[in-house]
Amino acid sequence: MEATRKITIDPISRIEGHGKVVINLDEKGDVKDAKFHVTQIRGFEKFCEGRPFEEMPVITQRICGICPVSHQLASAKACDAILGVKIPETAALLRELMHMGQFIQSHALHFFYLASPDLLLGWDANPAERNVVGVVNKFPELATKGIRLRKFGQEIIKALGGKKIHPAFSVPGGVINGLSRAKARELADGFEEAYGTCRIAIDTIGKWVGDNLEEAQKFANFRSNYAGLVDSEGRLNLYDGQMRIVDPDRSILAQFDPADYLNYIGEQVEPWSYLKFPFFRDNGFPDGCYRVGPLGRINAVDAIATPMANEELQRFREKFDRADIRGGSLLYHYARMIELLYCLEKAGEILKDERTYGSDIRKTMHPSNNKGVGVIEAPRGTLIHHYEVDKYGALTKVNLIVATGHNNMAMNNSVGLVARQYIRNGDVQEGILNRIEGAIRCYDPCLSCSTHALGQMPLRVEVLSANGDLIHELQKDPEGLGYA
Amino acid sequence: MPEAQNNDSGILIVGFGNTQRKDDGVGPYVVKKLSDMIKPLAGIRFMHVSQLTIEMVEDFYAADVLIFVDATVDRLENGWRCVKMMPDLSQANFQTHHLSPGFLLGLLQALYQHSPMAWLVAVQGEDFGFGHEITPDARTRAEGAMGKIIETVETIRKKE
Repeated sequence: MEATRKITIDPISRIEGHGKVVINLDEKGDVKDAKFHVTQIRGFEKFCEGRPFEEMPVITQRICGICPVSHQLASAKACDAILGVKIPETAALLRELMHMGQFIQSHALHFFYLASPDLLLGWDANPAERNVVGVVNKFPELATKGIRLRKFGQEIIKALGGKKIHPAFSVPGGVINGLSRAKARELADGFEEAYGTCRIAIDTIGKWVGDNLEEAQKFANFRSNYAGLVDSEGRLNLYDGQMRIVDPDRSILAQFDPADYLNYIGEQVEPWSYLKFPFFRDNGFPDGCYRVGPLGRINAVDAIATPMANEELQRFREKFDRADIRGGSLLYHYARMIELLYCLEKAGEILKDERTYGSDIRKTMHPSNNKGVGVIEAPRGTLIHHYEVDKYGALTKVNLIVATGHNNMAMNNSVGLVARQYIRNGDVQEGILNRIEGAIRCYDPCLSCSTHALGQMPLRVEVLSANGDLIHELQKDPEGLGYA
Repeated sequence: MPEAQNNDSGILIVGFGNTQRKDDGVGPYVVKKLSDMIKPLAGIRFMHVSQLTIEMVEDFYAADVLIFVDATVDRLENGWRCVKMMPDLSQANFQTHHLSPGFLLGLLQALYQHSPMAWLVAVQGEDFGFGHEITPDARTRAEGAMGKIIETVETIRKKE
């Protein structure tokens, strides 16, 4: 008689990247442990060594097709630091505008196409229908609005960088293009519709959480630290500022210049994953787990600088800023839409700012430092690019810590919690496995970014017996319609 | 029914592929060459992109005819092929980095009840390594593919 079982989910669907989940069951068929594995490596940190540092904004944006702008911006900021230059204010505004376009397209894509099948169609819906096509068939108007909102974000990127994916724009010392007023007017025409769609999304997720409060409280809810960039007044800042880490009750543990991140953040390596495990040094590993991304940021900040998003934040906090629900991973979806509103407001502000249309967009000079750290908030969380160069400007060290890495421990915690909540006596239904995937999906991980991995994206679940034998394996079929 | 807000119409030729991976960029290469050759004709639009993404249905909505041009690793008798495309939503799991022409046609049909005639022209590539250059073999095959596209366009225009 088999003593124990192992469940594998591989590939994980509706995330950016490849990964698998392995669940070990004990003799009773209950969960002994569960791990989220990242199984590929691409090696950007190694093969970039020796390259001229100025190439990095172009090279590193190729890490990802969803958030190339984030990598390009973090990289350009690291290069600015090596040059020892403060970029012109027009350049800074234009970079931030492109960054807002990136957030808008990425958050819209995640909410309407990756997360919405679970929320709108249900965890236990037929897996052949629980996907973007199911949403399109059942909610065509919402699906269309989601597409148009994503397009709006992409158009902002294209207006500045010439194309929507892998644009050429941010360079060491500034940017290479200004923004014409005619192009700005074209963009401005899209705001009314974008705000309308964002409101629908906020109402949709607000209602969903209200209607499913018990699930939001129980689902992958755990105490952790939270982290994100804040401005000088402790407000949300996605482009610049200080890094703040707060405890599970939102009290500040540390706030520091992101260039000093190594004093605060350690990186643990585990033999079963190519994804590193960053942790808050003061708490050690594994107690120093913190979460980044929308929920991490929303829980780390004091307020949001734009009025409508701040109003939504206050409304969110009135309902969910309580110890019994604050750590609920499903709240990521809600926080993501509050940020989307902020990004629309911020982009609108930048377009109205006269300084955006200046002609001084780049400073050039010789390198003055042998080290540069560039940090921004990417849609999925804090993104750190750290470069060191020799006297010729050739890279001697590259360290990249991306959002999905910061969230690695949290995603593993979430997988374990959901597995324990739903798997009992060896009973493993497809809907349960989808919930486990859904726990990962809350974080909107990008495994291509986090591992710098090569390959395709999907997830696998394995069930292992107590003596480690693989006794059950669930793998998405080639069409991605269910488990084979 | 939701409406896309794009007033362009006619024939849209879309080349896609990574122009930094040699022959993978043959789709954009073909479209750039064609846009020089048949620019004087009204009602034809050209687009070249790295990959097909979901919001492109907005660009495709107004087209009566869509011609996709892509590279392939398949060994083809003529070095290229032209196949008619039908809506196909079976790629339902939705990988956001790249979508197929059939999936986008499926979305067009589902969201806008619009089903343009569509073809996929695939050009056999030789070398998909790093670099911007299209190999001589792929260029030669691209010439044949361009001839087929021009013939298709002319046939469509005669019917109009």
